[in-house]
Amino acid sequence: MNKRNLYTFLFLCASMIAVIAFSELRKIKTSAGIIQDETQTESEFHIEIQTEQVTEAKSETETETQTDIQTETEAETEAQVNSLDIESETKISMENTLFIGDSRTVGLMEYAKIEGADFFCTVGMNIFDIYDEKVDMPGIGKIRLSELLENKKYDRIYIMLGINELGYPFDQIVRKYNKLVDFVKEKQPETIIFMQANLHVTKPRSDKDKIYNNSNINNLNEVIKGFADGKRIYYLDANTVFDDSEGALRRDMSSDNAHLYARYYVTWGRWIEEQTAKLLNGGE
Amino acid sequence: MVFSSLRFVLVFLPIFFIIYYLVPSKYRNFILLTGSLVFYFIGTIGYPEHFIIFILSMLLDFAVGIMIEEHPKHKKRFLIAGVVMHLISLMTFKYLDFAIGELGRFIPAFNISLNIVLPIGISFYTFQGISYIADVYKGKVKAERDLLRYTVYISMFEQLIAGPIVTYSEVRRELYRRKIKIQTVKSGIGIFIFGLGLKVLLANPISKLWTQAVTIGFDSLSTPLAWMSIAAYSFHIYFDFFGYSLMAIGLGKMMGFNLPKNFNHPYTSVTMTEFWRRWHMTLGSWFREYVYIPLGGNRKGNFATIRNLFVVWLLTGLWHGAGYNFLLWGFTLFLIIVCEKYFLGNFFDRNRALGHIYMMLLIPLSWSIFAITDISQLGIFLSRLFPFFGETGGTVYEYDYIKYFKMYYPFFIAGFILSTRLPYRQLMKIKDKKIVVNLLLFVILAGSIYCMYKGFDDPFLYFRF
Repeated sequence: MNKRNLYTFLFLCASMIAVIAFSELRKIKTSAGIIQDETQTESEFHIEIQTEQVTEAKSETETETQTDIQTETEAETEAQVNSLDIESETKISMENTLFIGDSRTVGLMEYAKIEGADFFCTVGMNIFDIYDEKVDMPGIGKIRLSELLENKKYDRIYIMLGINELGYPFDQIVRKYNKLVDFVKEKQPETIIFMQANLHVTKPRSDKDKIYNNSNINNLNEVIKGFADGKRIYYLDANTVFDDSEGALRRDMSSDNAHLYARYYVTWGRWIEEQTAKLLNGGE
Repeated sequence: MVFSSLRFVLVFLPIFFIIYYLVPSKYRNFILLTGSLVFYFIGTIGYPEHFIIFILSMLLDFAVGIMIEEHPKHKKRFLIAGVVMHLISLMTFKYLDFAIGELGRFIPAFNISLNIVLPIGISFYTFQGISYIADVYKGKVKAERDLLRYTVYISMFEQLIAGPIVTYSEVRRELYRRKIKIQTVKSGIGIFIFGLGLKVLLANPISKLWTQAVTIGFDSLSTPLAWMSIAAYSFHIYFDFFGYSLMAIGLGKMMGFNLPKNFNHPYTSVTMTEFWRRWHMTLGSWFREYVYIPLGGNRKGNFATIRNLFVVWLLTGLWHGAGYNFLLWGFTLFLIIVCEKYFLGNFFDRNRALGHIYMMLLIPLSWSIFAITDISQLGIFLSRLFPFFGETGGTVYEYDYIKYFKMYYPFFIAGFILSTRLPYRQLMKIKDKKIVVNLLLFVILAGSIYCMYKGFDDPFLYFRF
């Protein structure tokens, strides 16, 4: 081997050693908790991203075939949906109701077919911006929340917010939430308010995400639950419909680990109607 | 490291090129190798074994090339050894997990998940290595005796991760000696910026429509939205890959290399056959040169031709990913191309308008097989595209396509225009109007940097619910 090649070869060996050394150092630091392991495989070539998705999907289906949860709980949801159809006595009119919220509420608006309700919602809606935001409401036009509440009286108002705020300091979120509830109560003293729990994310998402995880979501939901007084303010937790046995969103119900497939908004809508009827009609 | 990231554009590139331009030309190969190794190292952080495998792969090909030349009596054995090693490595990283997973359905002992992570760039550098040793074997090139030059050929970062697949003979001269001319560097910068813009300002945003369709669930898409979303995907995959190839070519020019074109307005094709001569051209060349022709090409009668096409297209599908849908995709392309070759003749070449309509259907349809890995989901999606064949039940938001059209129409317009030759012809016309060109490039660059900064393109960032 000539000199040049020898030097190149040694250089390559040195680089391999350096890489290994770096990686060992990193392992030590990570296990000592000094640095977070934020390894993200940045495969920018879309085809390799595709393959990784396949690998991911593969391991998911493997765990599911192993435990067979899927068929069981799917049947459960089916039964749940069917039971909603059967209980026609608990059907309640959704005329003169208002839904306030973020992208989950947009999903309800578009897919749940809740007849007669108004929707004040946008993707990204949060309790910090809610007073300034102008929402384009069908039949009403572009309007702010204060204008809406001053000009139209609702029998019931459903509120579901919080997920977009999770990155902010918790006490700030609580204060802002208080402010919103007082705001609504003040504008519409006769209205019954339904606070909806924020939906969980799936376990893989929850395990990986430092902000949008079920522990934080549960903390927030506890606060929201605290607003309920059983007389004018009620608490609805749809997680009971969509959770798996570990208290996370069922993996087969979402493709992005955070949003439901559109068809489940129908289930959610019927469940809201059913729960409302139960709570207001004394649970017949 | 992703090309369309601030780290790459604002940190890595300036540092690299400052050093590269300042050093005397005889050190440039070494600087390029070092820079590329740093680039690959950053890209494989967390998986040092990927870095090792990469280096070993280069050393293997270098050695095999020399062996073939030194021992011509055994050259076939060396070639086979080299190719087999590459194929084993590729199959292990790309397909083993999938294969075991499939076996695991029938044999409980195999019901384990290996979670093998694919080393980035392996599909590209493996193919380049195979092309090199095959060319040495054929006598098309002389084996490279300088290890530095060979490793620069494989590792040079602008083409390492996402191509174009460069054959050794295409860059051999520049590996020995390259002139850095100001005009070429400027042109390279311009091409890079344009490619960056295509990726960040067009491909990334429009991809969100397809993602949205997946999130909604195919069964809940209206037919117009289903078509819109697969059109979005078609634009996304084109401008993403095309943009990337342009960035690679631009960077190559800046370094003194002339990399081959990878895309030639594929969406203007009138047949699928023409399409694949315009799409990912370096991959097509590779399969033609190293699989199709060695098998006999179209010179051994119809049956052999069809068989050879079958092999090439199935392998093409497989190269793109491990999954039944990729095989199905490859097979579908094979069927279409055979039909065109033997039944349609040059009908669409003579009736180009009809050819365009034909391709406007085939392109999104073929991409849907590629995009949807679950075959049953593919079935649902196709039934949304063609609602008269399947149930139209399910939840659909009747105005969904209006909502998304309002959000995405600028990107569709841009996508259509940039798929034609029009804007490129215009660009050639104003090429010498320096102020206009520089202004345009500045706007594209500034816009791209802004979008990258805001994280609009970050697939891991879901910033709003």
